[in-house]
Amino acid sequence: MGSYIIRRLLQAIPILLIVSLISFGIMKLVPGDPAIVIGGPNATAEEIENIRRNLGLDRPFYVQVGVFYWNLLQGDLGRSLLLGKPVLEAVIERAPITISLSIYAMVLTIVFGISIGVLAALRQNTWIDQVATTFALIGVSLPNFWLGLVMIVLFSVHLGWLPTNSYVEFSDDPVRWLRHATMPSVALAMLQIGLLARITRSTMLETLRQDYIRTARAKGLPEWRVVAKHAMANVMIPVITVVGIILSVLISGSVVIESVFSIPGIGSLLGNAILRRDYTMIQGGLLFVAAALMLLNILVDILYAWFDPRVRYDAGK
Amino acid sequence: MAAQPLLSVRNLRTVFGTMQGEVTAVDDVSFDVAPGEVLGIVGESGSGKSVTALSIMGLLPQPPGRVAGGEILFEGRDLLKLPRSELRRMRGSAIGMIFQEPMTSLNPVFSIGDQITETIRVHERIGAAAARTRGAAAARTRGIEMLEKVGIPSPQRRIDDFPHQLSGGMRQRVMIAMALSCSPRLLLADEPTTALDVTIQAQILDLLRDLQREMGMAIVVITHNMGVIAEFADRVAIMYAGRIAEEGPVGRIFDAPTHPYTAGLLSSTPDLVGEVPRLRTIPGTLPSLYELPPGCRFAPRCDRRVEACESGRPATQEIAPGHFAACIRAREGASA
Amino acid sequence: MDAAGAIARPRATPFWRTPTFRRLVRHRSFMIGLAMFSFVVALAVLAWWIAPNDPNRTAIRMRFRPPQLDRVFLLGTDNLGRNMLSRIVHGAQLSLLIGLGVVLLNTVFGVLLGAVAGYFRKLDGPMMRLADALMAFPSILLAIGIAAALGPSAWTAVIALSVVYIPRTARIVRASVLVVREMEFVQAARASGAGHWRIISRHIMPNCMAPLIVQLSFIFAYAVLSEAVLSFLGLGAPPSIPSWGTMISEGRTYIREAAWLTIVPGCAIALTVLGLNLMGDGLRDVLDPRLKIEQG
Repeated sequence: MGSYIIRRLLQAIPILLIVSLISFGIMKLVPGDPAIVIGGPNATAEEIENIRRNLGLDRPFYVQVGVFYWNLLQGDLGRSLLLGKPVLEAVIERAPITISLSIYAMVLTIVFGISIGVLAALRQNTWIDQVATTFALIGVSLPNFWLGLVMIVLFSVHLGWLPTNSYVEFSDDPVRWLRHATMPSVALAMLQIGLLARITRSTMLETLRQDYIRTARAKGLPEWRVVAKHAMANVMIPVITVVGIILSVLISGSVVIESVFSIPGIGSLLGNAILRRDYTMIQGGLLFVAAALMLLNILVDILYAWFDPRVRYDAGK
Repeated sequence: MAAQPLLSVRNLRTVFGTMQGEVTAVDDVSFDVAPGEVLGIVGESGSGKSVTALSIMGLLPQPPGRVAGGEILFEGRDLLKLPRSELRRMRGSAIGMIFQEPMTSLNPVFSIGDQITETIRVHERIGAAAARTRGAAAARTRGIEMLEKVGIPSPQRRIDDFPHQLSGGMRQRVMIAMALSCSPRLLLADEPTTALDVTIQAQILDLLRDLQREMGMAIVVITHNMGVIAEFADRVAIMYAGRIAEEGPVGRIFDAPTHPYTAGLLSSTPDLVGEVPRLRTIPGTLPSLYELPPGCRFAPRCDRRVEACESGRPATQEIAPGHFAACIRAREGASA
Repeated sequence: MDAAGAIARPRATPFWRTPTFRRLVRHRSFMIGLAMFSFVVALAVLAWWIAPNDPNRTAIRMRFRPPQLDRVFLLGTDNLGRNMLSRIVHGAQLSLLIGLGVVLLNTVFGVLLGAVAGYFRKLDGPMMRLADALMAFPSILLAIGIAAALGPSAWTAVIALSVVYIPRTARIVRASVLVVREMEFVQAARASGAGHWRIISRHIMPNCMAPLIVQLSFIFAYAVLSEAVLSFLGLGAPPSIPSWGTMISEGRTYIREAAWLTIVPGCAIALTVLGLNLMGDGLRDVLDPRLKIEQG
């Protein structure tokens, strides 16, 4: 098991290198001279020259790459053009908000996604299955920001149940946070719930066809035990692999959702940076999120390996 | 046979719903199993033998399959009329079953000890006295006992192993241990050795025979291998296309088969003793269950058929006490 | 004459007589999806006839008309008096064209790269490393990053979305190629002297079509959805071209008084994507039920 973890971490390094190279490369895609774009239409030649020197754009390409990686190793993700402070600092400041939102959305996804999927599988081809599958399908087809807006119209404007303005952090007031965080989390989670439900359903159906399920029934186990213990244990394994993907999509969805709900998290930080062409922020922020998600995925892989005894006890095979 | 049979299958009919209509996999099958007796059910793939066993256990895949008629009397009670919870209680404790594919029949994510003790505890909790244990520790001890009985070395260590750590033969032994852990009166063995290496096959059969003698249980062993029957069974029923062609004591049937299909099966199996003549084959193939021939289903391939064979199902004739054949020419003696 | 080619070439019967087609037609979800999607396509194709007037023409005196049963004001007007019906059908044109663009790029490059990676073992390793790295970026973020760098335009959207999905398509093609490559008729073709490209194009590719087609329909759906996200963020087509995403973004300010400005474009998106997803599901059921687990 230990060797599996080490192997997994080592595998991640070249990918991390390429990922950072890609984020570096994104900024090189900007057509024309970035210094001019950043300086704006009113910048003088001297100001543009300053910008160019500050960002190191006047150096040869390979030097720029080298400087980029050197900074990365020191934890320097660049400096935001707009805010004037280090990208890393700005991101970490807002991280708790996005994280709490993501956790809420994750819990919703897991609870509803798995229950709907299992229910649909156990009642295959009945009306329950049809409803569940249709619900999942629709969830996957809706633009999540639009869903957020619709919810605002319905629950805030017309019904007045949930607030839309301002935002309360979890650490300040958990109950009010819950009220504020529910709509954005549901909007975030909707697509994932649909996906997870579909995957859970097909995995469950596949698992129930396996021989060992027939053996479990032949032993005289009650049906609930066959499903809850024997089937679910095997269903959870592929479902866990999907959790990593779900987390990625959740966090990337927060870019839009946070803008819609005016939530001051990493997502709206990036959203603003995009609107205002804060290139260093975009570059640093994207890299941070991508790297964080990679790490999370590795954790999920390790969790998967721990759950599946075939992997756990065969360490090194 | 004055004593009441342990298992009595009467006129069992099992059908499957398919896209091309309903198909009868088991068509009016009847046989008895006495307590402590070993009955073999032989037939080619698709003859309906596994379906028969699944019907007895109530393990048919429910959407396509269902029992359409007949009775299955176990110790006098009709299993088909029992409420589901009753039937479930009998599975594992009164009737056990082992399957063909040891590689996939054990849950890969639980240890074998977990899976054995689970059977024991489920049945003890609901009061099926056969388990005779109380509590997790006692169940584990019994589990180790069972593993030892089926010949697994160092059972105290291996009880915590996972299925993928065991070979095919070992897994089959574990399956047997699980099925027998609550001392059932009847064991259904569906092709127990087919998926195993030849050398292991012999070991498993020996094991089953020893256990059968020791526990006095009845076994229905399903196979396509005549050799297994010869070794192991007291009586045999030969199935063809969903019906029983011939049924009787193993010795009699092997010496003097009366149904042409049985004769064909036996003559296509080489003898180890004496000169080996050229093996005969039965021409043709099993009929598709969607297009069954009228009358005797074996008729198209039979070298003794007459016109009467094609009209109406051949009645089962009693050749001798306990020996039945479904062939109108059975009494004339078979060609060999 | 190439004996191996004669074995492996797909049947020459026209598609509408094959059993696959018949199964598709009988598949209920597929047909529903097809109907939905065809409706949207029809809207896009007939846009110039359906639209009562120019989608960009402002008419301040007609603004904020709610939808009503009327040929002109079926979907109302927005804050600048622009006709919503016109804007929606023209938005359909944009979304479908972008979706088509992404699908085409994926077909060309995804197939090319996937076939090369699957067939030529030496190139497989590094190519898959690169693909893994690209896929490590959450798709929408990568698209946003690329689009932000390139500047807002319809082409940007197509390129950004294609870059995000080509690695996935290539992987799927590669997986099929890996399997088919080992099959006997390929060995036979190689033994009879066929060159690499001939083998790939005539023997291997026709047998990899099924998962590819399923993937492409899901890509189309994803492209329509993501284009909406990009234009919502201001990264897609410029405001002069009506786009469903931009319409939602513009309507957002007036969500209390004129909710239809946001609701209608969203429904249009949902209809299109749902139709495509249903078609994708149907195609998968008919062409390769085994994919059910992987695609989800």
